[in-house]
Amino acid sequence: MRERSDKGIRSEALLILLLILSVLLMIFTSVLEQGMIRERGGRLILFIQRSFGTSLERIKDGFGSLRRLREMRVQYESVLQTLSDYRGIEREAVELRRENRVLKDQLGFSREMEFTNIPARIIARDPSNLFSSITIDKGSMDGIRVGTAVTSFQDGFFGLMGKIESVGTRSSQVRPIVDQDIYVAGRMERSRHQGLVQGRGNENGELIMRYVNKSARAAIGVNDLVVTSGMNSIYPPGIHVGRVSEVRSLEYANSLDIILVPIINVGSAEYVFLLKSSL
Amino acid sequence: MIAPALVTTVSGILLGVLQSTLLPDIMPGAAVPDLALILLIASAWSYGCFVGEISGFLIGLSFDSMTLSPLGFHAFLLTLAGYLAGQLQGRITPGVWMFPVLAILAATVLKYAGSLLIALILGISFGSVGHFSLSTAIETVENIILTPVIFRLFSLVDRLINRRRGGFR
Repeated sequence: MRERSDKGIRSEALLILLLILSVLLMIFTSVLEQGMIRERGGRLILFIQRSFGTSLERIKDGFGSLRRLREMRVQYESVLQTLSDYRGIEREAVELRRENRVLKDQLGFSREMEFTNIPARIIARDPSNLFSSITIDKGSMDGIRVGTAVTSFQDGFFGLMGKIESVGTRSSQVRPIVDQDIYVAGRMERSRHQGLVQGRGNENGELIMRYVNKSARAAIGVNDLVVTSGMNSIYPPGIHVGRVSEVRSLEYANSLDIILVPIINVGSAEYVFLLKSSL
Repeated sequence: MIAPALVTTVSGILLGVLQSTLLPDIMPGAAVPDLALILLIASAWSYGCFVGEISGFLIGLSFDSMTLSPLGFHAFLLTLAGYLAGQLQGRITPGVWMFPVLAILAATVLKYAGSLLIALILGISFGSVGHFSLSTAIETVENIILTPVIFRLFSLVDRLINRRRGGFR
């Protein structure tokens, strides 16, 4: 009986000790730079995760190659058809490009900004469903730094996916734009009105664009595209962020609340491109 | 008690890696089952609080290094879950179906309620932390379906080790 009671006291003491240690770690990492501690403390775990993720991708590649071959044949037929249509369009495009160049020169946009990128593969996601982090297979050895803009290509759009939050030697963690802690300076692609885009959380997967002047209401419609404005931001201008799904004009507010659906669906993305110009 | 804690920790970390790499691609919906949590509960229920607390803490730390959560976030939740499951040792015989499922339901609720509480205290924005939603419901259903499987496997492996080597104890 006494032995059991001693055991109970010991386990409760251990519980309190571990809980205090957890709380101290949380406070400690909130104050200090998280990435540094993560990089040092979690190197082994990240190595296991990376090795497992990479091996898994290779196996999946092997099994998926036959299926992809079939899909590619269908796509090839369709592309051939489309190609003949595009040849006609190309002739017009050459002329338009020339005209565009002349106009740009006249406006002073002599140099077009171009982004070189580092392609990376998504190798892991959040194991506990509590956070929305994504792990990619490139790290500091590949020149990745904290704050690098992460983009992806989906359904014909080159869109913003998030930013690098912590970097390991061979892998990095991405915080997607649906996260509430991410802010992006945005602009309506068509009407050019500016605002601040913020994630609405992981569950509904939406974004909200705030601080857009109410006078812009008539110029903004559902399905309009929002791009990065590049103003005081780590994100270069002109990258697609989202598509308008709802415009809210509250009487008491002096600006619009625009609900956006992200261009990039984080759940189905497989590859990302890290923009070097934001490094 | 060191050996079962070590085996549970290593298995839990490997299950965590599986949850973050393979399972997101094959599970329906936007949620993956928390296999590491189920294993932790099964092990703590069988071996007691010490194994539950130590394994929970170490598995939690590994989860913290795999995600963007503050270091200690998952460690806190899983230590608590391990301790509570360890309290069941000798009081209720786990079996395979009803009690394990009830325990996992309670552990899942604890995980989400606890994470919101920690987020509130630490000032992490609520939207950054998963909360009760459709994906939570999917995860809960997945956990319920897989609980008997994991408990059964755990009991088989445990029995096998006990028979061959005289057990961990």
